[in-house]
Amino acid sequence: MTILFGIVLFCFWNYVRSAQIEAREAFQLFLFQSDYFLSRLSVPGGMARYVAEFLVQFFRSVALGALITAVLLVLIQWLSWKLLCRNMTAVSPSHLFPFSFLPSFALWKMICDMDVSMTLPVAVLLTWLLMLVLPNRRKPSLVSSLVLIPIGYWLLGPVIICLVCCHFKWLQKSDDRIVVLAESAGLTILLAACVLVSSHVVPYSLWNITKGIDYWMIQSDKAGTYEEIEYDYLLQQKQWGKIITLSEEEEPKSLACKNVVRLAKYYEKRISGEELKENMLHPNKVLTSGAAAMMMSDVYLHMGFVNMSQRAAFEVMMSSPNYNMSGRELSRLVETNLITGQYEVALKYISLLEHTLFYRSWAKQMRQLATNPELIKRSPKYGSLQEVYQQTVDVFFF
Amino acid sequence: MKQLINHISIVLTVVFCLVMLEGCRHQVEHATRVHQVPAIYPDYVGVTIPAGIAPLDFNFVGGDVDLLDVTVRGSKGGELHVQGEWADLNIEAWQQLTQQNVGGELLFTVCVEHDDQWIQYDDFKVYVSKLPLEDYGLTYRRIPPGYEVGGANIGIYQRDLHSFDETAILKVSAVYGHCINCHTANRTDPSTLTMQFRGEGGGTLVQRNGKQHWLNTRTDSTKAAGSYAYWHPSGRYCAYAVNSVHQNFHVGTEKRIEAYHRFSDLILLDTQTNQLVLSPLLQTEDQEIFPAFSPDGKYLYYSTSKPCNLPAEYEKVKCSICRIAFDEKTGTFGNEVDTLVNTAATGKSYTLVRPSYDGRWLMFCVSDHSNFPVFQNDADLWLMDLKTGEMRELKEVNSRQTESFHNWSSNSGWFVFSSKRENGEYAQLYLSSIDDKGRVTKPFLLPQRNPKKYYGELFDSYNVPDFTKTPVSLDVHEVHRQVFDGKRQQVEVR
Repeated sequence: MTILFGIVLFCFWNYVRSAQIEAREAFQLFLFQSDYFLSRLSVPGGMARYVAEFLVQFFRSVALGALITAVLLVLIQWLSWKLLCRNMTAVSPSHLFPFSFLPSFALWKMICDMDVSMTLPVAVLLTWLLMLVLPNRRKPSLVSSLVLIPIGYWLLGPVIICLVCCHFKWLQKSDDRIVVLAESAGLTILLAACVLVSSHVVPYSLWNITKGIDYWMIQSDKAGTYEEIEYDYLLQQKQWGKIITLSEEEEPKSLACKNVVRLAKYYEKRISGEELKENMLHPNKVLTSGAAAMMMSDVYLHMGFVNMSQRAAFEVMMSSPNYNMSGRELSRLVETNLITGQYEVALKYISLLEHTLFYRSWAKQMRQLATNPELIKRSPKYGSLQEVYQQTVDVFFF
Repeated sequence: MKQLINHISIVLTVVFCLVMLEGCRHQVEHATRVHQVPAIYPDYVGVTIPAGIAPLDFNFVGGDVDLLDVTVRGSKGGELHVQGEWADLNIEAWQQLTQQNVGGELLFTVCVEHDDQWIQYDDFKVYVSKLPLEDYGLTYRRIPPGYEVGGANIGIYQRDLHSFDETAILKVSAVYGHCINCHTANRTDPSTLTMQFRGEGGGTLVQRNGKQHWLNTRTDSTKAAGSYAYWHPSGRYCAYAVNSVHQNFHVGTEKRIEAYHRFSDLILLDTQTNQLVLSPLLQTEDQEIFPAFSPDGKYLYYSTSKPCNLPAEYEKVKCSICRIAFDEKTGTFGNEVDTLVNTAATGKSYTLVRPSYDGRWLMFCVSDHSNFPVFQNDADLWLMDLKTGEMRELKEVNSRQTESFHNWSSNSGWFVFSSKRENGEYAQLYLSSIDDKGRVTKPFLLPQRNPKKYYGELFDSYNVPDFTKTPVSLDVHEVHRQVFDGKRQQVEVR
């Protein structure tokens, strides 16, 4: 049953929500750097976030991303079953088994929303593991909880409250219920104190800290609608035919998606270059979300508007729902700065990308261009764009 | 006895560790002399620093390096020696060395090891000024360059100038959905502070002695809430520009962003009565912007430009520097405006007037056009001697890129400014000193530990820097509560 669950999960993420897998990766930049690790550890829930971001970097491959998501949710289901069996000994394991799917189903539903980060399932998984290693006797369990709650809170975030809840199970097993209640209340107060104290040392509001700094995106609805994410995915693949078909099935609501459709029609020779430009140049109206800005950065570069592409890429970096940087758009900024001749700035971004797993080799190639600008002219992509850029008549976009 | 053995074992362990550490050091031997100063980042060669400043850590950028060996000798005594990947100077030892050499020089000897070969470069000097820098540190905003729509996690920070410690005063992550800007203390004293919050439920924060007051400074008689601010020395009044700022992006080469204001007036807030003092001379068809009080509080300096069709005629925005008398006792402005520097004479735009607190100098930005110089590549700093009225370009600190957002230390012996000289995109903070004859020293980049890495990986531009006498204290929880509570005391026009 668990294996079947895993297969269903994999198929869902790989075939139904593939665009979202790719979008998650696009909104982060995982760096193999001690500073990056320490910056993550400097806020509650930082370890869960670090692990989640480590995993999400592999989402550049949709299949790998789908597999990781499926394994994560399957592990949560399996651990849930183990915990249920351990803590509800009076109930038959076979009866408990269906209930073990509930946390994974809930998380599955939640992470379909881009406003819920992968940090949440990772934090749940690691908390479940901690709960599993708690001693099976009340007093040692209490002592362990006293240690694990502050540490777990800092590493995994407020989901550690499950550890507090776990202590209530002794109400069933112990005759001294008042003492158990007092112990549970003490653990609750301990966690509340951790939350309050942490709110004075990190630059986040108490509300954000209480709901988990990176469980839910700080800036909600910034990533973009699923429609935008889907069009962006197709744009990445340059599937012009599919984009047109999709728009014919249902006209897109987002202005950015409409622009992508026009670009697709241009490439399919259904409209002229002049028609393509219509309504394209209204950045304030079109850069409404991260995904919209990502699309428009691509669209502008396709059209040879390098500065506009750079501007849109910046908007993505700024509208990241949890203030993460974007590896994809940082790469775009490298490209635009190479084209505009701002080589020092390009090198600044290249240095960062060289600390990543998947952008590293590309960044090294770009370093060659930034340090030898004459090579840019010979590059089929950047050379021609540089030529276009240098001939562009300077006008404003209103 | 047992205790004695313990003590001896601790001492022996420490000695052993020190010997081992010393053994790890590479002795500079048979170094080849190169007759040039080392290529270092930041360029600290020949700069003048105040005693007690954070260590001038630097990286060697003249090629591949396995090990850097740096010896610093004071002309009045003291020596410091470090080896490592970069010049990582010990804070306490550095502080002691600079204090010991006030008015003297520090001689840096830099040797570089690569492939078991040592190279010794020519020594260079750093001068320790007699002018003290008495302030605790700097405050500034860090903001990614070049965005408009998104909600960046910008923040207002403070930095201890005597160490590398930087702490956030307030970040957008604590008040998400809002833009925070224009933090202004009264002559570097953070006990009197104002700050603006834009976005839904935005407002003006006035903090006096730790107590926050949240105001709505927009009225029926004024077009917007207050933004760019400057305190009257008394701490009672605060002048604000009220305007509507926009950005447009160029598509062609050379320029990228043009910031402009659709309108701009000046208002004065009486923070005792929460009343606005308006003057028809400061609310004209022209754009009045960037107010600054004279140190005696008798004048309000500002920039003003003629109205034009914006953004189309953005190149016609050219500011003059003016001043208007102010009577603190009655809280009223004078009836006439003096023009100190007239754009009509030169065709340049003069903005961001900042008088030194000793009343001697007036520092401002000069660019070809615009009343928002931070996006103008040609923006430079200029200085006017208020004794003689003479003004000159500060060639000692200017570069081919933007210089702007300058402010004075509390004793007016030092100034901080932002400069994009490194790459034209990211503004960094530089400090420089000025003596009573107006001699300005070579500026130095705000020191950071491992600066090449720090600045190389920093994704933010620095802006609105100012000195702060003491650390800024702001109750972020109260700010969060007030921002989302949305209750603002409505100011009234007097």
